[in-house]
Amino acid sequence: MSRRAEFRRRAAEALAKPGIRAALTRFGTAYRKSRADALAVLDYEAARTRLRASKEDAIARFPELATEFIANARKAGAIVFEARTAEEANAYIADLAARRGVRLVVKAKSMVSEEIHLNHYLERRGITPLEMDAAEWIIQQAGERPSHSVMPAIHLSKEEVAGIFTTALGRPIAPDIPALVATLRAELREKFLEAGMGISGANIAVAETGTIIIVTNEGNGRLVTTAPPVHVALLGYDKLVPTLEEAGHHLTLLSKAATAQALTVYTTFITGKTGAPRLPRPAGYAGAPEPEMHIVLLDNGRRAMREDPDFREALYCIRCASCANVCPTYRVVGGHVFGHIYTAIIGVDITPFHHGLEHAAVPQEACLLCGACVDACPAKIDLPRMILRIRERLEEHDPPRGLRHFFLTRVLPKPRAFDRAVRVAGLAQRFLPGREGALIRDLPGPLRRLTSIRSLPMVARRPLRDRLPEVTAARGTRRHRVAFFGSCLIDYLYPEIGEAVVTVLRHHGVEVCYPKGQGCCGLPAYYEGARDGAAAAARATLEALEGHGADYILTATPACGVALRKYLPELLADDPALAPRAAALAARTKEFAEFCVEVLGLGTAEPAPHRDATPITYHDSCSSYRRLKLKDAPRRLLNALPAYRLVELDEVGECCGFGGHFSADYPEVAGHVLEQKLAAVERTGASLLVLDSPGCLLHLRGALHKQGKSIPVRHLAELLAEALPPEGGP
Amino acid sequence: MPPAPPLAERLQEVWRRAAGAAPALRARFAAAAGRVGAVVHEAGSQEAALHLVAELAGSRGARRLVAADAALAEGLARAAPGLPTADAEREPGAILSAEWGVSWALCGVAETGSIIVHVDPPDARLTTMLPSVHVALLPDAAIVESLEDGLLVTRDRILRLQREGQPSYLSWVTGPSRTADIERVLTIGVHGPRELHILVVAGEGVP
Repeated sequence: MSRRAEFRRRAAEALAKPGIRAALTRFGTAYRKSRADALAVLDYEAARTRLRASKEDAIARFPELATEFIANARKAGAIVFEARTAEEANAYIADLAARRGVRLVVKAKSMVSEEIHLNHYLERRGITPLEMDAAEWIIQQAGERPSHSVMPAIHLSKEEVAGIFTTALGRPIAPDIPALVATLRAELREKFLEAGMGISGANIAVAETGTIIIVTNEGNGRLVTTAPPVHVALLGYDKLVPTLEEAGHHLTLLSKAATAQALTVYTTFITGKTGAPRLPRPAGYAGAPEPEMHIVLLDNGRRAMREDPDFREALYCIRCASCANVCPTYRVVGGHVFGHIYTAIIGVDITPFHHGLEHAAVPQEACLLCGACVDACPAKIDLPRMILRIRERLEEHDPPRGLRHFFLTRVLPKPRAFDRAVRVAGLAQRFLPGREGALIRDLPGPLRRLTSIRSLPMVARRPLRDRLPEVTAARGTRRHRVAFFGSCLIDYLYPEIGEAVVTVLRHHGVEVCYPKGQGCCGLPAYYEGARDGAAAAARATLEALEGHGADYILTATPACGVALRKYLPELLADDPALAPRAAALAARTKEFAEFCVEVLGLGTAEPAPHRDATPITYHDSCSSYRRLKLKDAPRRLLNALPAYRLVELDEVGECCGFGGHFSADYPEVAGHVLEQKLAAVERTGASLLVLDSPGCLLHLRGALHKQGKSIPVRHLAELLAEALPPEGGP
Repeated sequence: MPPAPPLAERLQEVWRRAAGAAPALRARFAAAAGRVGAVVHEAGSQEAALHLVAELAGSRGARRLVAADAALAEGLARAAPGLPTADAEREPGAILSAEWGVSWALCGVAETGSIIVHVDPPDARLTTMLPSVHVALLPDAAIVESLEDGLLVTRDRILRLQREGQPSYLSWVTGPSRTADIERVLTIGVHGPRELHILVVAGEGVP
């Protein structure tokens, strides 16, 4: 099965269980608010900048920190084992258990033990591992794997949990949460004392003292590391920090970002072998009473990650799961779909190193590339960038064939071939049934998927390139000359937006050049991992836009703005002739709203809406809000229009689920993200939805049409153009 | 950036600041600890604190207490002759039937309402983990302002022991045990104590 088909199958399975979505949506909504409150007590930007620097330093120095940590831990009585692979770690722990005559092992929550499949390994050796964290115990009894690294059982309802308790304990248990928790406490109490070994993870390892730090809320971590005579702490090299003070900084961000707590209930600092209690043990107890403390430091791909410049920053993760909590698609499908062993985007990013590239192939499809996770990450990790690298590596590993790949690599990068292809499609669509004005409600046959959640726009009869001259003169005195990069979306689907852009610009004294050699910027190829196609398109775009004597390159499609400003220089960086030209072009590229505010000085008026002003709302595209950080400019422009009154959406900046090819490939998933956005639009009571991205416009206008809703969707430029006085007037 | 002054100097500065703002820090600590579900009491002396423990435990129907050290056990036995109190180290089995565990806290952190508990002997340490209720006695002069300050205290303690090759086990405890693992519903008291009482004791010195 192809990876897209397999992703669709897994997503459909998750979508068939509405409980997952309901739980994650409830949590996601509450989390966004409580996290913001928890972080409000500190300067978040400064704190994450510091954490980032701290992790960069620690990972850069991890061999020397490891040496220091090991020496200090040994000095305090711990036995340290460096495991290169999962097998070595598993074997070490199992052998130790066997040597000590251990039959039962109690475990505090450890994602690393999930990484190496430790439970399975111990069971095969006849040793019983028992998870003591409430969620982990539930998951273990159900034979599942965690769907979230901080809240492993978040996908289960209390009824499902009660069912799991009933089966596990062999007596009926009611779905009452306090009673369930009390039952768990009572059932597991004896086990802490019966176990011959306790296994924990560690959130941080401190080199200067050999201390491990464990963060928990329930208290199982302290019991697991105190009650049994043997304690094994299992952790990766990525957990090392130089000093205890440095650790403090990690702790405060971890608890605030992970669970919106000022500090988790128990933060435990264990240095060396601290002994074992002499209390009388229950009947099932086996093993010698002499205490031992073992630390297993695991590599399992971490050194390789450190050596790989594309993936090194994945080691800066502190496992707070913020990236899961703010992810629009995680909220829909959960961590069993978006994840392998480690869940959500960071989980997929590290999967190639811990478990192999092939295990990342299907789950990585869940990423919309919206970038919400980057803003939420306390270590400022560029998580979607690594998804792109995974897509490229998958492509290298298993070169795709077929029409889609041919289009991305052979048609898209060639402006003339692409132009011809679109015009042919434009002619062909006239024979399609189900057209309603400029929209098609239902495509036939195998194309049906494309219109399952939204009507699609028709290709315009006359693209923008046929409507505009090479140069449109400024009205009055010429102040600037710009080269306008129309984008495929505006050029072929929404030329009226392009005309509005030109109207606004020339009104304000801008001469607009429309280079006819332009085509696609290459973003669709780049986002799918077809790097060669993307680089060819980047080259063609650079050549088309240079040399028009323009002060600025202007885009009104923020995704293309991102491509021109960020990806063109990246894609052409290896070509010594093109690299400086791409960098120069990128530096001169401005997004429409940004240009209007920064260069033309528009949007300075204080908001003074008319008494009968139309309530409107504004949807930020991820490209402008997350990548280009353009939050103010469009609002200033809208606020200066007295005919409108801006009402903000809930969860401003959240993705609408368009995601380029994502919503075409996975409309079932995108549709749920879309519903959140449409509901937010409805709650504002606005009678007009304004946005800055033709992609989001295609998605939202099409969805509203499909659902028979009458809220119009307009590009910002259209509102500005309409507000201008008629030409030839005063 | 100039190099940070040595730890001992910075620690002195922490305690100097704490002493200068003691009443305000006590109030801030009590409010923060209250927010995370701990119950904070004040006692005029160690003896008064032990009487308060006996009174609280008695009124709640506790049948047996366990103390983390011999002095605490003796003090409690004097304060509550009718309530059996075991010394966890001398009677390691007592922990299994005791409902209340009593220990000292090393330090309090006003910013987060946390107490830093440093009890190394494992049987004694369990008094802060296994019983339903944990009572911690906190010297009123041992409340520092911030997480950062508390961390300096922690670092100093661990470093001093570690340099002598001594192991250590410290916990920052911020409220009673809790979980939100089932449907994100906050539930108090999973594996750790269901109740955390902090008795701020006047007249006890800095750790």
